[in-house]
Amino acid sequence: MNTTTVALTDVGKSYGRADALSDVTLALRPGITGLLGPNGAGKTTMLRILATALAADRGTVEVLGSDPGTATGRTAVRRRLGYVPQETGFPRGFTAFSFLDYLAILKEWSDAETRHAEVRRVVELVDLTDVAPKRVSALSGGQRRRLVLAQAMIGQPDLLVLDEPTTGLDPAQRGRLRDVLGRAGESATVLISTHQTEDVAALCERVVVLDGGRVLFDGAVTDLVRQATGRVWMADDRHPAAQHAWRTGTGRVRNVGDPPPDAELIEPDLEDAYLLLVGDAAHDAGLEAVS
Amino acid sequence: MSAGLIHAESPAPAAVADGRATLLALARADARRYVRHPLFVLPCAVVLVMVVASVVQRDGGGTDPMFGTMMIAFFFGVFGFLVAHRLTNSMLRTRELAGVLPVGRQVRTLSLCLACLVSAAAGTATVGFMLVTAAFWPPDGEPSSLPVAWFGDYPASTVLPALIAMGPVAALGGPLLGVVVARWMPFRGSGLLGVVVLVVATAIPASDSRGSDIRLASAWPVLMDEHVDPDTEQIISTTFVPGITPGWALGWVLCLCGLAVVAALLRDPQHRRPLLFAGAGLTLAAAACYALALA
Repeated sequence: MNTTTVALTDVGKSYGRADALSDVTLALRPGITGLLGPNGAGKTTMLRILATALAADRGTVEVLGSDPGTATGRTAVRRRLGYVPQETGFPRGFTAFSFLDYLAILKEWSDAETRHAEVRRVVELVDLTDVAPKRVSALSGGQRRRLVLAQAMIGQPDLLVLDEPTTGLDPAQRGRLRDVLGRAGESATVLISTHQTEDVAALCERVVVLDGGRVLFDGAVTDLVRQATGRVWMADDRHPAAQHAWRTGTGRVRNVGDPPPDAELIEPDLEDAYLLLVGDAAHDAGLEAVS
Repeated sequence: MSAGLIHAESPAPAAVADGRATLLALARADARRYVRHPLFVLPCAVVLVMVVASVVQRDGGGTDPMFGTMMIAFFFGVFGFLVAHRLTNSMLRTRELAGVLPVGRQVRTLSLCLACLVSAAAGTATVGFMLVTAAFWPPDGEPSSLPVAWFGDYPASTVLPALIAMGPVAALGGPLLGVVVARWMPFRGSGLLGVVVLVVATAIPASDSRGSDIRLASAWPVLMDEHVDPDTEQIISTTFVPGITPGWALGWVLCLCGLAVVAALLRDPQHRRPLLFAGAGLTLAAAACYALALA
């Protein structure tokens, strides 16, 4: 499927005098898209706009054929949306199951029998069956994170907006989550904001990199990685020309930047490419400021 | 840009229902939360112990309507204020999540107002228990040779509205006020502040030394102790505040409950116009009931 489901055109959002998003134009299609960027890049602002939690100040936003700027448009989007915010609290007194059941009602699942079946499905999906009768306050951080993910999956939404969904999950849980999201991405549009480049590399066919409220890169993950080819090398020590360098488990140093002529080049990964992209952008911005 | 966008049918499953069904499902869930709230469970236990103890004692003072309705108003009305306030504000912790769900805040508020009927039902059950036990085991007087007639010769058409106004409706009005305060003043401590204001605003005008017009304004106005034995200081009966017609007083407090619902719903921008009309109508009705109750 190659049809646009989410379209942002010249979208801007400001907090006071600070621009969180500047003229962002983006079109999303069914499949999984990763959203990378340093802290303060505008990722959460963009996700909140798509999730109808925030209105854009400028530009046009169209989500699943509706305009979230209108009340009816917002409701139409919300009926087909699953959203995992970066952080959320939980009301007191709920068990994991009753919390999901309550949110399912707020998603207009009024028939108790089918609602309970759907809640059991999402509980199973995120592997919380054993703790479903427990109070939310007794759950671990990872279990709570999966609980939030479970509510987003209720009703198999057409658009999943996930803000750092893997935070606090152990490797096994992250593996299971990748499976769940991979299946969801077969039919739905999934946008994942994360700092975990390995999650993006493992899950996403497409990646968008934001920095300073602007889109630095929008394309295939492989294309971004390819940009780093020839700029990652191993050495015994940190090289002065490297933008980033760290000692690996082998005892040798992985250098990322502009290599010397005799460098021992290695295959880059997404993290290398991301670091170079953001580092180059900062460097260019610095040059512009000086000139 | 929009030409390529998906304008698909709603993918909503068959389980997704209309707004009325959603409201009822939500109200049932909120009612369950209300029933399980510790500040409702504890007063229920206390009231149960007190009414059963009063029947066992059969001393003529334990179940008299003045004491019984006061118990209902305090334990279900005042505590209900806190329960409803807490339930209303409970989803604030999840506001980022709950704020992007299709069922909006106004429907959730209406659902909580419906859940307050739990408290009214508890008040009704208590009044019913009082009436049934009084019928089967009439309270003894002090001394026991003196029979106790609760309302003298007043007919049931006068007695029942008074008991309903000061029992179940008081148990409903407290929680509804809790929803209003939580919606309009969602800051920490507003619940306790509201309880203090509620108790003071009810207790001061309701004292026996006030005129009937002021007592009616207290929203807990109809009953008073008829006679206190000067030797034993034993309460032996209950009667009505002179100058207040219980039937119209019931209409007055019911209108106040309706106004509370309207005030809570007006917090959100949707349906402002019909709500304002409803509020105006209820205000007129309340004024009429107030005047007629004092006529």
